[in-house]
Amino acid sequence: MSDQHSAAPMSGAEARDALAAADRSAESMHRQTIAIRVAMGGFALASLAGVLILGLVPMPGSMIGGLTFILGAAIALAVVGGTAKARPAGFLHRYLIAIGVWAAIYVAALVIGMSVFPAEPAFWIPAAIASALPGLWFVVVGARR
Amino acid sequence: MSHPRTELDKELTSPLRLSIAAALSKVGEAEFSAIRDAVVTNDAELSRQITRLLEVGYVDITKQKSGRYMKTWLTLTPAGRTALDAHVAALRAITD
Repeated sequence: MSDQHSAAPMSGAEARDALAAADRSAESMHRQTIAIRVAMGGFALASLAGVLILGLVPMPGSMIGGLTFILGAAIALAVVGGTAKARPAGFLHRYLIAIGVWAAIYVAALVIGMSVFPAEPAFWIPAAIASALPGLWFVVVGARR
Repeated sequence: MSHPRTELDKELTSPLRLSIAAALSKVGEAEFSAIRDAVVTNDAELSRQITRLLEVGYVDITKQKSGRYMKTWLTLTPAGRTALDAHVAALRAITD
C-alpha cells in the first residue's frame, strides 16, 4: 500500500506547498497558546485595579470588591491554564515565577500599605503597578517566543 | 554541487509529519487533539505518523491525567527541531 504522506517534494511548487501547509499548522498551534497570555494579562490588570481599590478606598465594600476582582481573575487564569491544550515553551517555569513574584509583591503591598500608608496614593499607585508587572512580564516574554 | 533535495530529511518529506513537527515547534507541548486540529487529520492517521516520529526520536510523549482520563501530550525533541530546521531550509532552497 502506498503512503500518501511519503512522497518527497521534488519541484519548487511541491516544496512551496509543503512549506505553506507547515506554516498553517504552526500558526494554528501558536494561536492555541494566546488564551493563556490573554488570561494572564487580564489577571495583571485585575491585580492593578484590585490593589488600587483595596488601598485607596478603605471601606468594607471596596475591600470585598477588590478581593473579588483579583480572585475572579485568578480563577479565570487557573481555568484557562488548566484546560489549555497547548502550552508555550517554558510555560510552567514562567507561570510559577510570575505567580510567585506577584504573591510576594501583593502581600508586601497590603501589609506595608495598610499599616504604614493607608489611602496614600504615593504608595498605592506604584504598588498597584508593581503588582501588575509579573503578569505583564509573562505576557511579553511569551509573545516573543 | 548537490541539489537541495538531497538535504531533505526523509522522515519529514511526509507533508503530515512535517506539519506535525512544525506545529510542535511553535509550542512547548501540545495535547494530541490540539495537534490533530492544527494539522487537520484524523486520530488514526495522526497516531500512525506520531508513532513514526517517536521511533526516529523526533517527538516525546507523556501521559498526563485529566479528570478520569489520561491525555497524550507531545513535545518536539532537540533532534526533531534540528531536523525540522534543516528540512525547512532545504525546502526554501528548492523554492528559490
